[in-house]
Amino acid sequence: MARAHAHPCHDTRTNGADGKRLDKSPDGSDLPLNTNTVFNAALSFRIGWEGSFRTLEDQAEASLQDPAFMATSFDEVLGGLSADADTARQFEAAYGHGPDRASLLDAIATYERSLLTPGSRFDRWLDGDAEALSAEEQSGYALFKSLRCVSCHQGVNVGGNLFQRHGIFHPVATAKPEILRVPSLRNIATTPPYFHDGSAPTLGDAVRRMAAGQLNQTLSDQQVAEIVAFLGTLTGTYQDHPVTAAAP
Amino acid sequence: MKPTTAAIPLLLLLLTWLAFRAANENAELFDTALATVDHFAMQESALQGNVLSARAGVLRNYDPLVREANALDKSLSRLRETAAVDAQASATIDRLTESVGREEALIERVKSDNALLQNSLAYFGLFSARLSASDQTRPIAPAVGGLVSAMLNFTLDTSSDTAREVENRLDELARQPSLPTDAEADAVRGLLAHGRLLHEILPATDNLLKALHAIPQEQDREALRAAVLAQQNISRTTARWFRLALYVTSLLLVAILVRLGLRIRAQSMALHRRAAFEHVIAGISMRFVDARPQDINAVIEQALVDMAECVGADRAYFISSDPSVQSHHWHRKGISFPPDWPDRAAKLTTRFSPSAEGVVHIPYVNWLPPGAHRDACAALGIQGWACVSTPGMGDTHHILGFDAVRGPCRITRAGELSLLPMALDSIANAVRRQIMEQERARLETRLQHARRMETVGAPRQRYCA
Repeated sequence: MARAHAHPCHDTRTNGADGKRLDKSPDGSDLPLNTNTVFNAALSFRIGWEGSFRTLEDQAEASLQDPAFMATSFDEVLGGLSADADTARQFEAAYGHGPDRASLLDAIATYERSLLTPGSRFDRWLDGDAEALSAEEQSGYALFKSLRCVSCHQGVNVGGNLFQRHGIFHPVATAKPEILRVPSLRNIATTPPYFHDGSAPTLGDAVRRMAAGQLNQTLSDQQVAEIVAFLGTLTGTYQDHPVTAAAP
Repeated sequence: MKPTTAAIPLLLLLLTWLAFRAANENAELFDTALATVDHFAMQESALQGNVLSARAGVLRNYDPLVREANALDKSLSRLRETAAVDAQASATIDRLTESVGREEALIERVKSDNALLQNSLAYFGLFSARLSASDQTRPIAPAVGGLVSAMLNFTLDTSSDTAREVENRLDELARQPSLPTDAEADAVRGLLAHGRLLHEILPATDNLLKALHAIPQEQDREALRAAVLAQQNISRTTARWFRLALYVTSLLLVAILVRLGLRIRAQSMALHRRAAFEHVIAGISMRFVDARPQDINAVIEQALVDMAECVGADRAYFISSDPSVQSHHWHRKGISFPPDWPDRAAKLTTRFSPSAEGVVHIPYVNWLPPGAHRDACAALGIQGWACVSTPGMGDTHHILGFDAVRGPCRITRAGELSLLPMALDSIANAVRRQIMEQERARLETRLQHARRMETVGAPRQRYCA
């Protein structure tokens, strides 16, 4: 039901986002922040780069009405949904009545909660499959821990469960906003460009800048390669297909 | 429908209502509210415990904190649903909501700072170890050692004095001449960078933790618990009163039902007595029909016995103002008639107002107001009295009376009293038939006598002629 009306910024056939540095708002201007992937968003404790929303329902409600995003209204959306006999029938079957504000938001949030990407090689390795990670990837994981990247990127979503300042020691990206919700690293290899401003075109670039900015560490090419290799093991599957990068 | 009978459905409705109120349906609500308060306290303790674990570096990730913060938030919603029992409790929940909001904001800052803190502690240890492993004779070694020592102390005591000591040691290390190798220079730069970050974040994090523990949630929780308990006590007391009212109403209903049962039983017995009396009267009438004139007196005697036994009288009599009619008396063994009684019954009857059917009924003489009437009855040894008088032929009156001398009159029901005229009529008719039979016999005797005289006279006439 919600899938049929999904926003083009979140392409669930690829990485749950798109490959653009910044998406456009309906008036043609650049959005202020890079588009997050919708995959595994339900596992984050707050939604959006700034973590402005506590629930998926709150985020959906705001995005629908925000002129910079969906630029629509509930009346318009509900009118369209009600006019579609098939959609109206599906709402009736699911909620016992036609589409309304609450059922619409619940439908969107319920769909988003289904957008999980399990089955990454790292998950299999944690489950005991020793062959799931190569030696280089395991070295990358060890480096990821020893460099203390895990201080922020931890938990079931490998991030997404705290706020953090960026540019602690050196600037990482655009200074504003100063505090961001730490992004999840699941499927990170498929979601370039990186950072809230989309300023890091490659994962290696992002790793190098994060190490310098947040940890005051200058990484060698070898270290970057190993960490990038490890991060590649965090790519999961959606509907039995591996998550893939979107076209730029 | 009599008022007593009409009260039964009303009492049943009242009982039903009282039963619902006495069930104290709110008891479960208050128990749930108290359990929610306890659950809230547990979530709160778990959250604070995990914050401390995170600060100590024991908590490997922040997911438990997120789960517990969400659970605390849900607990607040449940508290609002279940524990907002009055305005005071609602105000307390509002304060709790506000303090949980402050707590969550502080915890987010603790999480952020603690991540940096754990990072910098690790790097500080790494760089200090790297520098300590190098030649200890170099001039930088004491500065590094002093900084490490001060920082170690700073992790235990974040007071301003200790902070100043760390700052001095950092400045001292920064003033050291440049080192011969890039690796050592990088290590010193890293040590200084993370040391300065620790100098900033350690006291800030501790202050956040102090602020977190200073949030007065326990007072509000206890106030909320007290409010719920107070309402629970009120509810229980109210339910207790309703149970008492339920008990009293039940007793009242039982009393009414018992009274109703007794009344039905009494009416049933009265019907039985009336039926028995009617049966006796019918039997007496049949016997009068079958009786020969010379046997009627005996039948009347027996009728008095049967009726007296039936109605429980101690004395019974049939008297008539017609001197030619024989009076009939009956009394139980050991009980006798006083002088002139029941011959004076007609005179006593005039003292009381008979009913339209001529019935005088004195249920119990002792219930009569003191006075001549009561004295007159008492003088005759009467305790209860029922009699009926009907006019006979001409100016004559017949009286049928039943005396109770050992207690109140046993004839109490209107149904039995209404049969007294029938009983008297039955006897009076028999007496009338007896008089008429006697008259017929007398006339027949005279007729025979006249015939005999006529027979004797005819020869004489022929003779005289």
